[in-house]
Amino acid sequence: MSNKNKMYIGMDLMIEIVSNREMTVDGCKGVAEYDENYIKLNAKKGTVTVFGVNLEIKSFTEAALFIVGKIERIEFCM
Amino acid sequence: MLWLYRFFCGYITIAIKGNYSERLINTLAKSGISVWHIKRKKNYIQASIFAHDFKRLASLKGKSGVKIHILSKTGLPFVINKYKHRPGLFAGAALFIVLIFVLSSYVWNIKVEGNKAVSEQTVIEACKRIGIKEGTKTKDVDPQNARVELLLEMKGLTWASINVEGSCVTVNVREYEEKQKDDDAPCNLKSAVSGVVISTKVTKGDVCVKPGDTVTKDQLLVSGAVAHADGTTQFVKSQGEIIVETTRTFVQKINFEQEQCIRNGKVKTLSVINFFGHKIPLFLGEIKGDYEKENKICKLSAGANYAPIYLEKANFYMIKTDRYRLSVEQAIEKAQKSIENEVLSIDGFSVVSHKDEILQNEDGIELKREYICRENAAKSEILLIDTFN
Repeated sequence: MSNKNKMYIGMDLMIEIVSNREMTVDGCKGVAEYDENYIKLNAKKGTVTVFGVNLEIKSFTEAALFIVGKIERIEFCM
Repeated sequence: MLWLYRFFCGYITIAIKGNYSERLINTLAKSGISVWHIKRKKNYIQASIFAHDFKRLASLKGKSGVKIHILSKTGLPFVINKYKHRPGLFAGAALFIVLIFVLSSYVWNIKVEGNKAVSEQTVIEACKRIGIKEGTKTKDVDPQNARVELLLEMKGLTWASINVEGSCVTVNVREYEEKQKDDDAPCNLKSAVSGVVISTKVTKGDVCVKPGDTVTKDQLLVSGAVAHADGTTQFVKSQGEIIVETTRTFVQKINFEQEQCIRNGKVKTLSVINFFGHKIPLFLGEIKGDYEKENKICKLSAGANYAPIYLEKANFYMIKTDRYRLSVEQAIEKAQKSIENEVLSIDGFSVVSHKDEILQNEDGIELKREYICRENAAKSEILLIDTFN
């Protein structure tokens, strides 16, 4: 079974997770808060918070945001 | 490959300090500036951006109210900038790249594989004659034509292939192998010399001579056609030894006046750089007088491959000619030794006795030695059978 999952949230945000180590977010409006243990992202409708250990934004462009680290949970506030 | 692209473009690692550091990162991303390696440190956020985007950072920073510090500058533009006052370094690097590019289009090494009897040097010399040598342009080597030319050049080869791999030419060859003679073919034994038969040891075949018989050269000694009592004839491969007593004469002339070349202890070493087959001398002038030459080649090699630029050292040992006069006894002794050495080099030759005859004139002596010896006179000759009758 593939460990690559895609989540389409409200058609404006696409999250792609590889295992619990990598995460790509398309359609993200920006970073609201950033720490080693959590990253709060602004979406068109609400926020997405990623909790984990040693979290790092590997790259951030207009198109996508790429997070690496040990992802423990994702919280949506829509 | 992304890291290589970033290295070539050059990037700056910055520290963003302030309460709204994330806001600047969002602004950068929205403005189309790539930001990567974003890490939260104690009181700042560390991020990397391309060097050419840094100028835009000043205008974007004003909106977010944060302070920016440069932590490090990485990449080729910064390396070039650092050494811009040393043009020789860049010239050297450029020359190195050009040299590698140019030299890689020439043949560096020629490898020979599959040769047994023919030496590697012989094949390399043949390749040189057909235009493949160190320093030949690889694009000028046509493997298909070259293999045919090589086969025409070297008669001892039955097959050849030439492969160009980078700057290395590999020559694969197969040599002509003589078909082994049919060991079981019927054959006679004939006499290789003239003399008197002393003994016969025949394991196969019909003996035609007996001890005490006199035989001449090419006389039949053992017949391969064995006639049986029932009238049938069997053809066999004759085997055996026919020991014959023969007389052999050796003559050796020795002059009283002798010349001997000896090294006088003086050595001159001259070096030559071999650059793709072109020899560049590292000396002026020439060697005068008589000498013995010894060559030494210093190659820079890595495994089976070697650099096409190597040093050839030649040691010239100067020699002097020493003249001296032999006494009659010394001349005779020298002649005897010379003949004895010649006799020792003959296989299957046992001496029974010898008789010397010495002729002396004013120039020197002539030793005539007659040996009475015993040797195996049998030599094989294939028996030709006419099947038409």
